[in-house]
Formats: sequence, structure tokens, C-alpha cells
Amino acid sequence: MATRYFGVAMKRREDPRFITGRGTYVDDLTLPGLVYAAMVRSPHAHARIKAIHKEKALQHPGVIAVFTGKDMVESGVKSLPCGWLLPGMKLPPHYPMAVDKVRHVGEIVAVVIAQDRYTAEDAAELVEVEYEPLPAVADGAKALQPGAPAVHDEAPDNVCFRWSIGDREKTDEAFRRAHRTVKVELVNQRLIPNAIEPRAAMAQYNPATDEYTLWVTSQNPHVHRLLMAAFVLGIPEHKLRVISPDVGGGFGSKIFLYPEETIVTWAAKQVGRPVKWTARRRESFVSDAHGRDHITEAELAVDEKGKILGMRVKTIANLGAYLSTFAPAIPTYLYGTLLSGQYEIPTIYCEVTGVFTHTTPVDAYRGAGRPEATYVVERLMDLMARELGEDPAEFRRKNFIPPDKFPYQTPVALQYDSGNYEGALNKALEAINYKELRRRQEELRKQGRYIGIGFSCYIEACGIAPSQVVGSLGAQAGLWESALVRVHPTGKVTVYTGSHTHGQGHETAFAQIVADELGIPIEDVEIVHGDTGSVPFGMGTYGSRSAPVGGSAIVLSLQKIKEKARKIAAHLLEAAEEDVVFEDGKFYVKGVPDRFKTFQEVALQAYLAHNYPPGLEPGLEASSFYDPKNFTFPFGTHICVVEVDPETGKVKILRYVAVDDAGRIINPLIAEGQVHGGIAQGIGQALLEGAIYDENAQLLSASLLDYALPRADDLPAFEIDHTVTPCPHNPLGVKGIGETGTIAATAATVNAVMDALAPFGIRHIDMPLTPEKIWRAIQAARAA
Amino acid sequence: MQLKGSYRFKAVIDRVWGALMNPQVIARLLPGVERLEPVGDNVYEAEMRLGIGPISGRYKARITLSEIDPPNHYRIRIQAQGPQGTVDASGTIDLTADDGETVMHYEGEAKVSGLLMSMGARLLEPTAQMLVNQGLKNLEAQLASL
Repeated sequence: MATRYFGVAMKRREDPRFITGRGTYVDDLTLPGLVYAAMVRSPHAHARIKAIHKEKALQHPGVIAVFTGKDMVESGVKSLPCGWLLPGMKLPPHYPMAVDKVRHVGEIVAVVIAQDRYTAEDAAELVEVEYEPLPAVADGAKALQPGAPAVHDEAPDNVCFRWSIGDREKTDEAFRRAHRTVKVELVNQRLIPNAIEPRAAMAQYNPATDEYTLWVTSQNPHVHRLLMAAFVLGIPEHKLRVISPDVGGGFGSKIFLYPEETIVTWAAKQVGRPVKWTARRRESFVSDAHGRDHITEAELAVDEKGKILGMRVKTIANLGAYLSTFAPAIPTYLYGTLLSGQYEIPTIYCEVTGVFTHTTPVDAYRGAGRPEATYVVERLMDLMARELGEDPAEFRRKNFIPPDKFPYQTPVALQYDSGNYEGALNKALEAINYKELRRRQEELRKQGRYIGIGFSCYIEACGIAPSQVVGSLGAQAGLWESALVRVHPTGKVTVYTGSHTHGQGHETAFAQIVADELGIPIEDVEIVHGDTGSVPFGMGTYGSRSAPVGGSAIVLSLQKIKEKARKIAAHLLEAAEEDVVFEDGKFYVKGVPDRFKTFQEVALQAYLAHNYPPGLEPGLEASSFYDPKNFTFPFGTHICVVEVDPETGKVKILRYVAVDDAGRIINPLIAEGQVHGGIAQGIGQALLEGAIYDENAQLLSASLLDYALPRADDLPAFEIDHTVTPCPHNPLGVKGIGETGTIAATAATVNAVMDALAPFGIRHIDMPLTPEKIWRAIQAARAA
Repeated sequence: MQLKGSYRFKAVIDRVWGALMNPQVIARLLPGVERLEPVGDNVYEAEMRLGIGPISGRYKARITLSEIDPPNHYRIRIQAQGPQGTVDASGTIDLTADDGETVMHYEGEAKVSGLLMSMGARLLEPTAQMLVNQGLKNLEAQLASL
């Protein structure tokens, strides 16, 4: 069939409604009798709750109710569950509101329900909480020291888990016979997600039917429903409908089941009125799950020829005060398994200690484990190249897994199915005009100007799968995806996808797939998502899984539709089924294309069923559940070019070239947008962002005044290109592009700055690379 | 957060000490005190209005004087709690007579939590120093008018 939509850079169909302010976000919704919730949050990082006095708040005009953690627990509410379990892991309870102790700044101690939001917020200040402050610890390494205050009685040493991957003895042996080794301590600092739409939830309870409806900013409404209904509130799953309408960005932070939506759902029944809560930005800072926060010691060993012999990595992963929904998976199976990067590394050993601290819980944030792994690998590659006096590009090239070695089994569990790393590197080198750039760098150095060139040759594993494998690794759910394709009598099509779009453009990209497969105009296709009341159980969107897993599920359903339609067409054409071909939306007998039945005619007959194949059911719809055979492995090379001003320490990004291989691209415009956003976030971590806690575990970077998100003038015009190595195991050959930018950009940018600072002998500075830090490093180097 | 400094009063030590032990003077010395009542020996309860930029609110405070060594030294502890956070500050005041005047050395430390800290951290120390300076100037003026 001639491709008409796949691969076309169509404008997004959803954008007109967003850019004209007609999107429908949770906070836009209202209901008759709606009341509002405001959360009373702990100012202390660690304190015993001695008493909570509700009286003054309750006397405030307009206040309907005040509830505490004790009220919830006494009514039977259970702990929020953790969706990924590791052997021997400590799993302390996490109630939606603190019961006896608070364990991080911003933890909820009470909720005030009032007739309007202003009243609720005012009355929240009238709830008097008596605290007995206790010592607190925010830093992952300090939490492991003897005598550190314990976050939970269940884990007196603050260790949640100790996890390792790879062969320790073999790796130690590789280091013993190494020609050269490098070692570096890296801090992958804590980040705060900052989706443009704050989290929000609105819940309604209908006493006549005993049914609940929850509208929530969720990347995976079915997962929200399952966790909340079955594990926390004890609502029969079929009595809870979860709707996640338009959502303004997630980046992982809207995957998890949070206290707030649980509280409003429970409270809606208690007060007999629908209840809404929308986060204020300053609540988002302390309550949205944070990302990253690793302290790592990493080593690389090479032989005489500069070929890698082994890698050794020790990481302390700060998990925060409680285990967020997928927290244990991020610094383990999404991190340790990626440490082979694009390279042939005979042996790797990685151990990770997951640590509780008195801080906001940490979970998946765009890239989730993979940016942390890429940062470790790519920093090591640069440091070793410098140690050996080799060109960083050539040192990488020499150690790439060659194209003829796929499928390639890494020493850290993953089996890469495909790759052509040199292809992407060459394309990127050419785009940046590498040789000339190095010459220019030399020239400028003589003039006292410091240009740096940084590489990041990254690998990503997305579309986490298959279910059987993730189950054996501790996932408490399968990671397949669903799609229901419903063809209406007029041949119009509604697709119900288990994926969820919150910026990814599914309404366009998925419709492109459907329109092509059925040979119908894209206007005839509607993509529906985000409602457990209409969509079959789905796993949602995270880990760049929508195209490879969600898209594949749609293709499976379309195949079923076409098979059935062919049967109907054969009957109408009075031909044998195997002689009927389907092309450009028309069924005809092989060799007789002029005598045809359109897809729309066949669809109509499926519903009229007047003239119909005997024994065939009427109707035309199909649902599928697609379980991938493997992860998909996008890869690429990013090159960042910076100039550092040695007098001020300021970094200016001169050029940024990204060559990504995400397999076949459904919509290049959307893909480019994803890469742009990802790079911006990655550069944000490298140069600007960082969550700062003080010694009492108070969050100091708790507003956009103190937490520096990248702005347009911090970023260059990105130069974006692709290579195409189709995924060999899914029907679309797609791999996922949502996280590539974030995974690659951080290391590329830091490597570029370190390259610029090489003449000063500066080897490493921890992120964010602020002017002050760089200036101090230059001063120290000059003094030495 | 730490504060440290000294101030020279143009008054004899006994007058300065007397003022520093007078609850009404303390009420005017501390920032934003709207009410101050003794609730025990050298223990006071106060309502204070504190604010840094947008983060302002009414705080309930308990003020305790200890290590009282007239006319040279005492320790003051202020534990304040309000909707935007808590403050637990403790510091010493030392007076030395010098040529008919009095030199005061003060030194203190405060633990601040909640929004007050997370939104105001960068402004906290300069604001606190400003409030202390203001308080001391007030005291100087009061001493002159007494």
C-alpha cells in the first residue's frame, strides 16, 4: 500500500484546541456542588505529630470538613503501594496523610474542604499542628553514616535495598590486569520536574450507584484506578472510573499514585460533594516526585590498545522519604542495565544502595535511570580518552559494538537487537565539521578563548518489556499495551488506546498509522485515550513506550479488522477470500481492480448484515493486547559545542547537533519536537537545575525564583538529524524518541565544558555547571 | 542561619540591662511583636507578625530568658510557629561597661523551616540582620528618652 501519512511531518491535530485555549484540563472542569480541598503540609523535614487542632479551621465560615491521616486510617484506608519490588527491599507504609510522624517538608498532615478555594487555603492556615521536631538528613551519603537519623523504624540504617548487577570477580580481575584505569566521583543532582500543568484531581461519589469518578492528571489512568481501588481505598475496581483528560506535560511525574488524588476521592464520599484540588506551583515543588539524585563512584579499565576491559560502578541512590510507585526500578533495572552504552565491555559490575532520606520521594523523571547511566558511561569515556591522549570520538569508535555483532548480549542483562553506532557518529561528525572545529579550537585557545566539544554516544532501552521478563525483575504489572479499534457503520473509526498523550501528539501520530492501514482519510479517525470508562485496560505512557508498544497494539487490531472486512468483501464480491486484496481503502479481486468495494461499503454491510457471510458475526471492531518481544534500543550521537568565558565562568552553547536513531519515524515534526524538549531538559540539568536541601532537610530551591529552568536564551538552535535502523521485532519498526534528548544532552554538555576547561587541567566539576562553580575551578587551577 | 554582632550604647550598663529585662522594651525590640505577655518567670508568650517578601504571617512565639547574670549576660530563646513555617532561635547577649557607655555583643543561631525557609532562604540572613539593627536602634532611642 502506498504510504500516505506515515513519515509525513503533519501538524498536530490537537494543537488548534491547545493554542486557542480550548483544551480541557482537570482544573477547567467543574461539577454542581463542587467543593475545594487545600492541603496542610509539614514545614518540618522530620517531626513527631503531637496533636492536630482542627477547631479554628472548622469554625471558619465556608469550611465543610477537616480530615487528618488518623481519620483516613481509622476509616480503613491503606498505604499507597509500590509497584516494583526488589529482593530484601524495606517497604515502610506510606499513608496519604502522615499519621504519627512527618518525614519530609511538604508531607500532608491534614486536608481542609471548603466551599471555595480561597476559603480552603485560608482555613488550612488555621489548622494548628503541634510538632516535636526531630533531626533530619537529606543527603544520600550522609543518611548511610552511622548515627544518621533514621527515616523509618523498619530501616534503622536508612538502607531500602542493596542491589547489584554483573560479575564482580570478573570485573575486579579485569581491573587487576588493566593497562590504564580512570576513576571519577559523580553527583547526578536531584531535579524537580515542573510540568507546565500542576497536578490536579477532582472526585465525585454517587451514593445512588456507589460509583466514584476521578478526574486526575495521570499518564496512566488504569494504573491509577487499579492501585487506588484495589490497594488503598478498597473500592471495587468497576465502581471507580478514572478520567485523565488533556494533560499538560508529565515527564514521569504524573505516572505515580499520589496522596492528593487519593485524599480527594476518599473525601468526596465523606462530605457527599464532589471535591477538587489543584496544586499551587510551590506545592508541586515539594510534592511532585523528584528525579535523579545519585552519588556515584565509577571506574573504567582499558588494555594497551585502548580497548575497554571493564567498568565498575558504585551508586548511592536517594529515594526520598517514601517509596513512590516505581521508585525501586529507576536506579536499578533502568540504570545498571544501561551501563554498557554503545560499547563492547567484556565485564561490568554495578552495585546500588537505595537510601531513605527526609526528602520528597524520588521516582522516574524523563529518561529515568538511563540519563544517569549515560552520564556515567560518557563521562568515563571522555576521561579515559583524555587519560590516553586520544581523540574522544575515535576512542568511542574503537570501542563501539560493531554492526555485525547484533543481537548483542551485554554483561548487564540486556540484549541489544540492532544498532549502527558508527553511522550516527559519522553523520554527527560531518554535521559539525569536526576536523575543522578541532583546528579552530586550537587556534582560539592561543587567543585565550576556550571552546569545548562534547560527545554523548548514548543507548536507550524503551518500551520496557516483555511482561514475563519485567515480572521476573520485580515489576508488579505486565508492560503490554491495549488498543480497541471500532469501525462505525459509515466507515469512520474510533481508536481507544491504552497509551496516554500528555504532549506526545498521539491524536495525530496514531491517526496517521490508522489512516494508512485502512486507506481512509485521517479526518475519519478519532483517537480516544485516558478514560477507564471507555478504553480497555492499558498501561499508559512513560519510558517512550507509546509508539513501539501502544502503536503496535493498534496495528494488531487493524490487522484483525482487515481480516474480517476481507471476509465480508469476498462475500460481497462473490469471490474466494484468498483472492481478495485490500489496497488504498478498496477491496477487489486480484487482477480486477475496477470492480471493488470500498472500506466504507464493507463497514456498512458489517452492521446491516443483510447480505452477509454465513456464520460470521456482525459488527466491525477488534481489540488487542500487544506484549513486546524485547525492549527497543534507540541510539545516537549528540555533539555539544560550548565556549566558556574564563573571567566569568559563563558557558555559552555555540552549537548542538543531535543524530538520533529511533527507527522509523511516524511524524518527523512531532519527533523533532520531542528531541528539542528533551535536549532542553538535558542541558537544564547540565548547566542550571538542581534541588538544594539545607542541613535540616529544608528545600531551599522551592520556587521558580530559586530553581533555574532553562529559558530560550540559554539554548542554541538545535541541529537535528536521524539515521534509521528499524526495530526488528515490532510491526512498525519504531523505537521511541521521547527521552533520547534528555538521555544524551546532559553528558554531551558537561563533556563539552570539561573539554573547554582542559587547558586548565580541570577534570571534573559536578552539575549544574554554574558560572560560579566554573569560575572557582578556574581560580583554583590557576592558583595551583 | 547565624547572627553575630556588637553595638555601642551611649548609656551606662545598668540602664541598658534594665531595659533589656523589661518586657515592654523587649516587645518593642523584637520585630513585629503585636502582643507580649509574661506566662512564668522570664517566660513570655507573644504574637508576632513576620514576613519576608510574600511569605508573611502571624506567628505564635514563646520567648524564654535564661542564664541570667545581671548586668552582664543572658540567653534568649524564641520559638515561633506560624502558617508559613517555624523559627527556633537561640542567642546570647553580653554587656560590658566601657567608659560610661555599654558595649553589647550578641550571637545567635536560628533554625527556620517551611515556606519561610524554602521561599525566603536567600533573604533570610540580610532580613534578620536588618531587623536586629532596627531593634537595636529602637532600643538606643528608648534609652535616650527614658
